[in-house]
Amino acid sequence: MAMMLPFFTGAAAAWYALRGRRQASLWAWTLTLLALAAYAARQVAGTLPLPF
Amino acid sequence: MQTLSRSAGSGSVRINTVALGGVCAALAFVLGWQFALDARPCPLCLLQRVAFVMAGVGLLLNVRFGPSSLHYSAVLIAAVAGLALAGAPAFLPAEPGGSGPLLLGLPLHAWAFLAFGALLAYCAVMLALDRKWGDNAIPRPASLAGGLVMWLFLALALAHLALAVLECGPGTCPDRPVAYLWFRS
Repeated sequence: MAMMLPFFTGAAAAWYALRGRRQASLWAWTLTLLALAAYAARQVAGTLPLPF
Repeated sequence: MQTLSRSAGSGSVRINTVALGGVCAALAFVLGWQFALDARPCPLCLLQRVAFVMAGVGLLLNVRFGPSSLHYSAVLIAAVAGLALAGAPAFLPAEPGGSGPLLLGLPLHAWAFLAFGALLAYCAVMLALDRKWGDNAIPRPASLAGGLVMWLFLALALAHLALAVLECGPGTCPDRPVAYLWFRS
Protein backbone atom coordinates (compact mmCIF):
# COMPACT_ATOMS: atom_id res chain seq x y z
CA MET A 1 0.00 0.00 0.00
CA ALA A 2 1.22 3.46 -0.80
CA MET A 3 2.77 5.34 2.10
CA MET A 4 1.39 8.57 0.71
CA LEU A 5 -2.23 7.40 1.20
CA PRO A 6 -2.61 8.18 4.96
CA PHE A 7 -0.84 11.52 4.45
CA PHE A 8 -3.18 12.32 1.57
CA THR A 9 -6.36 11.44 3.48
CA GLY A 10 -5.04 13.28 6.56
CA ALA A 11 -4.45 16.43 4.52
CA ALA A 12 -7.90 16.00 2.95
CA ALA A 13 -9.45 15.76 6.43
CA ALA A 14 -7.71 19.01 7.41
CA TRP A 15 -8.85 20.68 4.20
CA TYR A 16 -12.49 19.64 4.66
CA ALA A 17 -12.45 20.80 8.29
CA LEU A 18 -11.08 24.17 7.21
CA ARG A 19 -13.80 24.47 4.55
CA GLY A 20 -16.45 23.80 7.19
CA ARG A 21 -17.40 20.32 5.95
CA ARG A 22 -17.25 18.33 9.13
CA GLN A 23 -18.86 15.12 7.86
CA ALA A 24 -16.42 14.86 4.96
CA SER A 25 -13.54 15.67 7.31
CA LEU A 26 -14.53 12.89 9.70
CA TRP A 27 -14.82 10.40 6.84
CA ALA A 28 -11.39 11.36 5.58
CA TRP A 29 -10.05 11.06 9.14
CA THR A 30 -11.55 7.55 9.39
CA LEU A 31 -9.90 6.56 6.10
CA THR A 32 -6.61 7.88 7.51
CA LEU A 33 -7.03 5.69 10.58
CA LEU A 34 -7.75 2.61 8.43
CA ALA A 35 -4.74 3.29 6.20
CA LEU A 36 -2.54 3.87 9.26
CA ALA A 37 -3.72 0.62 10.88
CA ALA A 38 -3.18 -1.37 7.68
CA TYR A 39 0.30 0.07 7.12
CA ALA A 40 1.31 -0.31 10.77
CA ALA A 41 0.15 -3.94 10.85
CA ARG A 42 2.09 -4.65 7.69
CA GLN A 43 5.16 -2.88 9.04
CA VAL A 44 5.19 -4.34 12.54
CA ALA A 45 3.85 -7.88 11.94
CA GLY A 46 6.74 -10.25 11.55
CA THR A 47 9.19 -8.01 13.36
CA LEU A 48 7.57 -8.29 16.79
CA PRO A 49 8.10 -11.57 18.68
CA LEU A 50 4.33 -12.11 18.92
CA PRO A 51 2.38 -15.15 17.68
CA PHE A 52 0.42 -13.39 14.91
CA MET B 1 -14.06 25.41 34.51
CA GLN B 2 -16.87 27.90 35.04
CA THR B 3 -15.15 30.40 32.77
CA LEU B 4 -15.05 27.85 29.99
CA SER B 5 -18.76 27.13 30.46
CA ARG B 6 -19.88 30.77 30.44
CA SER B 7 -18.00 31.80 27.33
CA ALA B 8 -19.87 29.32 25.10
CA GLY B 9 -16.73 27.32 24.44
CA SER B 10 -14.60 30.24 23.30
CA GLY B 11 -12.05 29.71 26.09
CA SER B 12 -11.88 26.08 25.11
CA VAL B 13 -11.43 27.02 21.46
CA ARG B 14 -8.48 29.20 22.48
CA ILE B 15 -6.92 26.32 24.41
CA ASN B 16 -7.44 24.04 21.41
CA THR B 17 -5.84 26.66 19.17
CA VAL B 18 -2.76 26.59 21.40
CA ALA B 19 -2.73 22.78 21.34
CA LEU B 20 -3.03 22.82 17.54
CA GLY B 21 -0.11 25.25 17.53
CA GLY B 22 1.84 22.67 19.55
CA VAL B 23 1.09 19.97 16.99
CA CYS B 24 2.17 22.40 14.23
CA ALA B 25 5.41 23.02 16.13
CA ALA B 26 6.06 19.26 16.35
CA LEU B 27 5.36 18.77 12.62
CA ALA B 28 7.54 21.76 11.71
CA PHE B 29 10.33 20.59 14.01
CA VAL B 30 10.60 17.14 12.43
CA LEU B 31 10.66 18.77 8.98
CA GLY B 32 13.50 21.04 10.07
CA TRP B 33 15.28 18.11 11.77
CA GLN B 34 15.00 16.02 8.60
CA PHE B 35 16.53 18.76 6.44
CA ALA B 36 19.13 19.94 8.97
CA LEU B 37 20.54 16.45 9.48
CA ASP B 38 19.75 15.25 5.96
CA ALA B 39 18.02 12.26 7.57
CA ARG B 40 15.43 9.96 5.98
CA PRO B 41 12.64 8.96 8.34
CA CYS B 42 11.95 5.26 8.77
CA PRO B 43 8.44 3.94 7.91
CA LEU B 44 7.48 3.86 11.61
CA CYS B 45 8.62 7.48 11.98
CA LEU B 46 6.43 8.42 9.00
CA LEU B 47 3.47 6.68 10.65
CA GLN B 48 4.08 8.69 13.83
CA ARG B 49 3.79 11.82 11.71
CA VAL B 50 0.47 10.55 10.35
CA ALA B 51 -0.73 10.12 13.95
CA PHE B 52 0.29 13.74 14.66
CA VAL B 53 -1.69 14.88 11.60
CA MET B 54 -4.73 12.87 12.77
CA ALA B 55 -4.53 14.42 16.25
CA GLY B 56 -4.19 17.84 14.63
CA VAL B 57 -7.35 17.26 12.59
CA GLY B 58 -9.29 16.56 15.82
CA LEU B 59 -7.97 19.78 17.36
CA LEU B 60 -8.71 21.67 14.15
CA LEU B 61 -12.32 20.44 14.28
CA ASN B 62 -12.54 21.78 17.85
CA VAL B 63 -11.29 25.17 16.69
CA ARG B 64 -13.52 25.29 13.59
CA PHE B 65 -16.76 23.86 14.98
CA GLY B 66 -16.39 24.29 18.74
CA PRO B 67 -15.47 21.68 21.32
CA SER B 68 -17.14 18.29 21.04
CA SER B 69 -16.48 14.90 22.57
CA LEU B 70 -16.45 13.49 19.02
CA HIS B 71 -13.48 15.72 18.13
CA TYR B 72 -11.69 14.87 21.36
CA SER B 73 -12.17 11.17 20.67
CA ALA B 74 -10.44 11.70 17.31
CA VAL B 75 -7.47 13.23 19.14
CA LEU B 76 -7.58 10.45 21.74
CA ILE B 77 -7.53 7.64 19.16
CA ALA B 78 -4.68 9.34 17.29
CA ALA B 79 -2.73 9.76 20.54
CA VAL B 80 -3.16 6.08 21.45
CA ALA B 81 -2.07 5.04 17.94
CA GLY B 82 0.89 7.41 18.20
CA LEU B 83 1.87 6.00 21.59
CA ALA B 84 1.85 2.48 20.15
CA LEU B 85 3.89 3.53 17.11
CA ALA B 86 6.40 5.57 19.14
CA GLY B 87 6.72 2.78 21.71
CA ALA B 88 7.16 0.04 19.11
CA PRO B 89 10.94 0.61 18.66
CA ALA B 90 11.41 -0.49 22.28
CA PHE B 91 10.14 -3.97 21.31
CA LEU B 92 11.69 -4.19 17.86
CA PRO B 93 15.19 -5.53 17.26
CA ALA B 94 17.76 -2.73 17.52
CA GLU B 95 18.84 -1.25 14.20
CA PRO B 96 22.51 -1.56 13.26
CA GLY B 97 23.06 2.19 13.20
CA GLY B 98 21.28 2.80 16.51
CA SER B 99 18.02 4.73 16.77
CA GLY B 100 19.27 7.80 14.95
CA PRO B 101 20.49 11.15 16.25
CA LEU B 102 19.60 12.13 19.82
CA LEU B 103 17.82 15.26 20.97
CA LEU B 104 18.74 16.23 24.56
CA GLY B 105 19.86 12.68 25.18
CA LEU B 106 16.72 10.99 23.87
CA PRO B 107 15.91 9.58 20.41
CA LEU B 108 13.13 11.30 18.51
CA HIS B 109 10.68 8.44 18.98
CA ALA B 110 11.01 8.84 22.76
CA TRP B 111 10.10 12.51 22.41
CA ALA B 112 7.18 11.51 20.19
CA PHE B 113 6.08 9.05 22.90
CA LEU B 114 6.10 11.86 25.47
CA ALA B 115 4.21 14.19 23.10
CA PHE B 116 1.48 11.60 22.46
CA GLY B 117 1.26 10.97 26.21
CA ALA B 118 0.78 14.71 26.72
CA LEU B 119 -1.98 14.72 24.08
CA LEU B 120 -3.66 11.84 25.90
CA ALA B 121 -3.55 13.73 29.21
CA TYR B 122 -4.80 16.87 27.43
CA CYS B 123 -7.84 14.98 26.11
CA ALA B 124 -8.61 13.54 29.54
CA VAL B 125 -8.59 17.01 31.11
CA MET B 126 -10.47 18.74 28.28
CA LEU B 127 -13.15 16.05 28.08
CA ALA B 128 -13.84 16.72 31.76
CA LEU B 129 -13.88 20.51 31.28
CA ASP B 130 -15.87 20.51 28.04
CA ARG B 131 -18.43 17.88 28.97
CA LYS B 132 -21.30 20.41 28.92
CA TRP B 133 -20.99 21.25 25.25
CA GLY B 134 -23.10 19.39 22.74
CA ASP B 135 -22.19 18.43 19.23
CA ASN B 136 -22.22 21.23 16.68
CA ALA B 137 -21.76 20.73 12.93
CA ILE B 138 -22.05 24.44 12.03
CA PRO B 139 -18.68 26.12 11.51
CA ARG B 140 -17.99 29.12 13.71
CA PRO B 141 -16.00 32.20 12.76
CA ALA B 142 -12.35 31.79 13.66
CA SER B 143 -10.16 34.42 15.25
CA LEU B 144 -7.14 35.69 13.34
CA ALA B 145 -4.79 33.52 15.40
CA GLY B 146 -7.08 30.52 15.03
CA GLY B 147 -7.27 30.99 11.26
CA LEU B 148 -3.50 31.33 10.98
CA VAL B 149 -2.84 28.20 13.02
CA MET B 150 -5.41 26.19 11.04
CA TRP B 151 -3.90 27.19 7.67
CA LEU B 152 -0.40 26.58 9.00
CA PHE B 153 -1.48 23.08 10.01
CA LEU B 154 -2.87 22.39 6.53
CA ALA B 155 0.37 23.66 4.96
CA LEU B 156 2.43 21.37 7.22
CA ALA B 157 0.19 18.37 6.48
CA LEU B 158 0.67 19.02 2.75
CA ALA B 159 4.44 19.42 3.22
CA HIS B 160 4.61 16.03 4.95
CA LEU B 161 2.50 14.51 2.16
CA ALA B 162 4.94 15.90 -0.42
CA LEU B 163 7.93 14.52 1.50
CA ALA B 164 6.31 11.10 1.82
CA VAL B 165 5.74 11.05 -1.95
CA LEU B 166 9.33 12.13 -2.61
CA GLU B 167 10.77 9.59 -0.20
CA CYS B 168 8.60 6.57 -0.92
CA GLY B 169 7.16 7.23 -4.37
CA PRO B 170 3.75 5.75 -5.13
CA GLY B 171 4.44 2.49 -3.27
CA THR B 172 5.64 1.28 0.10
CA CYS B 173 8.65 2.78 1.82
CA PRO B 174 11.96 0.93 2.06
CA ASP B 175 12.79 -0.20 5.62
CA ARG B 176 15.95 1.88 5.77
CA PRO B 177 15.55 4.71 3.27
CA VAL B 178 18.86 6.26 2.23
CA ALA B 179 17.69 8.62 -0.51
CA TYR B 180 14.57 10.24 -1.89
CA LEU B 181 13.12 7.63 -4.24
CA TRP B 182 11.94 10.15 -6.81
CA PHE B 183 15.25 11.98 -6.88
CA ARG B 184 17.27 8.90 -7.81
CA SER B 185 18.80 8.98 -11.22
